[in-house]
Amino acid sequence: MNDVKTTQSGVWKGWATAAICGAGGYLFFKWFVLRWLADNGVLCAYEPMIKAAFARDGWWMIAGWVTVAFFGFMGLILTIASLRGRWTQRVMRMQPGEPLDKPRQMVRISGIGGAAYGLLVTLFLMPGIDPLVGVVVGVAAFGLITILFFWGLRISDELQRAAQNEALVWSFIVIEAVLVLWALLNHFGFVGPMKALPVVLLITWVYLAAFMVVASRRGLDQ
Amino acid sequence: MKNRLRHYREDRGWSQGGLAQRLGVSRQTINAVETDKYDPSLPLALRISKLFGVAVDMIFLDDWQPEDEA
Repeated sequence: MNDVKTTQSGVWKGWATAAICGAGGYLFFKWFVLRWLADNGVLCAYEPMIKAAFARDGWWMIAGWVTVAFFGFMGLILTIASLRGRWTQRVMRMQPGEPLDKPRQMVRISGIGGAAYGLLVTLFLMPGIDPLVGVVVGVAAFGLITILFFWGLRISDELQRAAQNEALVWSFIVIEAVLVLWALLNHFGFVGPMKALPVVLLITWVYLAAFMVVASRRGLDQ
Repeated sequence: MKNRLRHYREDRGWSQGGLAQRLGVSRQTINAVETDKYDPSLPLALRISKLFGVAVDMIFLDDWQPEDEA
């Protein structure tokens, strides 16, 4: 018999662990190392900017930085993993002898796309950024993500597309429910209007959570 | 939907990866179909039946029966 044993632990679990560690490391860097450097005069020129950023940080800003760290680190790991076949096999939990071309492209697309998305979210976290620079960087990152998305659709197989579609439907229902509830509470004066950053983060995390659940249920991670 | 894909594949001595390559899909897709986690699209089901040279309903099993017309 020439059967293939499936792995029980999923691909996304490995990515999520790496990304959570990356986010933790990044936050540690931002809150402790960067603050220490600013307080001790090492980053004299940037001290006012760093202190202003700390003063501004609310829960949504922290969630935003976690998102940036998550996508940035995941993007970096996946892009590096796509450089060598052995690393791609490990990240995708592939069996020896499986064709590498498409998985490798998919890992690279996900990596570059994730990093570009992290860059895009960073723009929401930096209100002081020069509008011209913000627009140029934002449009470039958004364009890159769009191109990679359609490229990914072209090379993905039907299980991946089905999982993406199913995750989209579930996340749409959840996001719509949250937005309607928020709008209702806002209408009666219980909460303030929703800003751009919370909407972006809500969509990102709900879709990501929905995709992980669907991927696990459909065996995409095995 | 239950199916007998694993039976037909093993009968030919193919691995999941080998079958996936012949059908132009990923190994995960074959694994998901065999473990009843995913029902394949009609084009893929037709390709599978052509590859094994049997009718689709020999591979994919459905209990549904049409109601008797009065």
